[in-house]
Amino acid sequence: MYGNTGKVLEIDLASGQVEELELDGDIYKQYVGGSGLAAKLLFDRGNLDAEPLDPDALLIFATGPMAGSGMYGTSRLSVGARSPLTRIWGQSSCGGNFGPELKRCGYDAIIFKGKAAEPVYLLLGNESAELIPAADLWGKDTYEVTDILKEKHSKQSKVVAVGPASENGVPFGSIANDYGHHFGRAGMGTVMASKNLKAIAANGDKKTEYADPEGFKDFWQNTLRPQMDESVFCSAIQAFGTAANMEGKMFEGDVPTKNWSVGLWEEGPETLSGPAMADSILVKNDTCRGCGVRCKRIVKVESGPYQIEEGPGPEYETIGCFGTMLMNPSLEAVAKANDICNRLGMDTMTCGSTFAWAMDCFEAGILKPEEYEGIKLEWGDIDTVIDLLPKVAAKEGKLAQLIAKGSRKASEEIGGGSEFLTDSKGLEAPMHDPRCNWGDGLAYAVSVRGACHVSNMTFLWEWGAIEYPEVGLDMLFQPMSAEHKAFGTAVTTDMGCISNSACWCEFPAAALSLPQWVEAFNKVAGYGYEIETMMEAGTRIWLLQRCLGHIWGATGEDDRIGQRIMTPVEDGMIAGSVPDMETMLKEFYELRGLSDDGRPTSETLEKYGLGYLADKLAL
Amino acid sequence: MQVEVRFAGLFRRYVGEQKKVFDIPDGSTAGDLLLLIGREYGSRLPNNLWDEESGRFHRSIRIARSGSPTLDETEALRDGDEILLIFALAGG
Repeated sequence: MYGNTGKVLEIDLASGQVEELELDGDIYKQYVGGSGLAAKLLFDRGNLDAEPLDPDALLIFATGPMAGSGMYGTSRLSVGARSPLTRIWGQSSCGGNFGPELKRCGYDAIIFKGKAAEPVYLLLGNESAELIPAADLWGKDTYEVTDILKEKHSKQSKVVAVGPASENGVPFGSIANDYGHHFGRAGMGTVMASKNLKAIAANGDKKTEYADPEGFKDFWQNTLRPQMDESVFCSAIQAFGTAANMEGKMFEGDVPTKNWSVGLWEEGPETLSGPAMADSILVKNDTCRGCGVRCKRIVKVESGPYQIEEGPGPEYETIGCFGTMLMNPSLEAVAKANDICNRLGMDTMTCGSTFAWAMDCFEAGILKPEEYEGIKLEWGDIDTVIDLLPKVAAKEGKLAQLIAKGSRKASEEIGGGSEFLTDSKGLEAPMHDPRCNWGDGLAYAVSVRGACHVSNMTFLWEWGAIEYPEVGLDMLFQPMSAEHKAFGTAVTTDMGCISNSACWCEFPAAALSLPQWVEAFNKVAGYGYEIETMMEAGTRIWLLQRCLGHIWGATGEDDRIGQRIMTPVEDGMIAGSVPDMETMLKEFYELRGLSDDGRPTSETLEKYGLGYLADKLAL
Repeated sequence: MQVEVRFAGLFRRYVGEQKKVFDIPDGSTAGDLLLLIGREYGSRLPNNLWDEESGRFHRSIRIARSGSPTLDETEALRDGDEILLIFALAGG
């Protein structure tokens, strides 16, 4: 076994039993690792009838074949489970350091099932696993828990932990890895807390064998690394973080503003960009383990109402969700909101987007202050939002309880405000506007976890940032057009499934050609890929994860994006633009071998070695 | 004829200017304008963004006419066009 260890832990939290599974090498080649492997394990070993927070539901952490290889961007880790927010396949990927550490302990993945009678945490060492009582940790925030476990076991321990929001059943609870890295999306922390699992601390030193160690070393040092170092994207986000060009994208119309209702906010963008952060609250760069890109920001707000101590700063998505979306121009306030969400363990994207939805509802009179403790959420009033964040995590008070449902469920509860929703399948859309790049709309609609831009690489392709002639992605096209978008979205979705399952950050990955992706997989993990078989693995993963959604009730009718995103704005470069979803979806279904109802045909499943799904789908 | 180019975001940070009016011959294309911009500001840009030898920007640099989609490099410009220089980088 190369690249991977071939070993998976299966832990029954109810009984405390720990079992070590050995996987066949073929499963890795077929499903790559990470979220692909997690989906396969969940299908094979889970009770698919279980509700997301039932004890029977599985929660799976899975790392990728290149974790620990030193290649930039490969230290990510995936978590997969049925989402309590969307009720379909949920996956979340996180940078940081836990992926390589899991492998250094001797495992590629951990499957959690059951629910512990009392709170516990898992202590991982070299091929060892011990459940330890954690009643004293319950209720503590993610930073506190991380500090305590590092102090108790080793400063070298790598920690993942949930916070109070997850403990309280907020359906968008996150899992923190060493403070600032978060599995934010789809409520994976909520699933973890529902099992009374507070944290995992890992510290190992086992080595991973590579298929061609000398060949990989040479390939990395003399080809891939220089290419990544010289990459336009890697160097830009190293200098200014993921929000490096936020202001530029705002003028282009790509950054959602005022809950997606405004095309251009002339007064706001300058204060919210990566360069603005560099000029104000930035202390230094930080990084995921072994990554030379160093795009992470460490910030400090020394004075004023938004003081925070030195710590992880907000990423692009958070700056959008607590900045432009709320018409809040204060980067310091965004940093404060980010710090609170990090500590309490909440997804900043669903949280900020739900506040934006609520502001629209208050403005339209759908939500009334007299019915919500006299509180009125208004555009730009970030102070009220910040005051409410701890209450959302605690589900205290009527308005906080509403926000704590996420926007779609909140809209369903009040029976209004659906015109302001920005989700697909219950997951609020990321901060790239499909009215600016129509393919993003299709990519969000057909994403396996709901609106998502990182389980596909569509946005990078559509911006013109990447092209891959080997798979036909070198054609000319217009961003605000349906032409070529179904094909481009299909191919870039495959690529996203591959990179996501490899637990590989898209920015360094985008610096390489497809033949280089293949060569990296083969030298590290010995998958024996060619471009065609690698891309087939991407399609296979997408189909499996989509079919889990079908099994859990999703249909083609859910391949839609929020009504607000389908409403044109009147200003800026995207004025009047609405993606032609009907045309793109029809072409996409045909390309993917899907029936009119959005489900794959039997022939499609057989083609990708997924015939085992047919019975579950009643095909 | 004259066109006004707006630099935003990271590109503005690199070039140190927000707007610039270019005098260009009638019939100039979007590609001609990109070349002019590169020649004027290339020395202020990271090496990987502008290649002086080939006179080409990295493929992530495009231009758009204000209020309309991205321009193909062969597309003719018009007198008075307001142009936005787009740098295809953001996100995470």
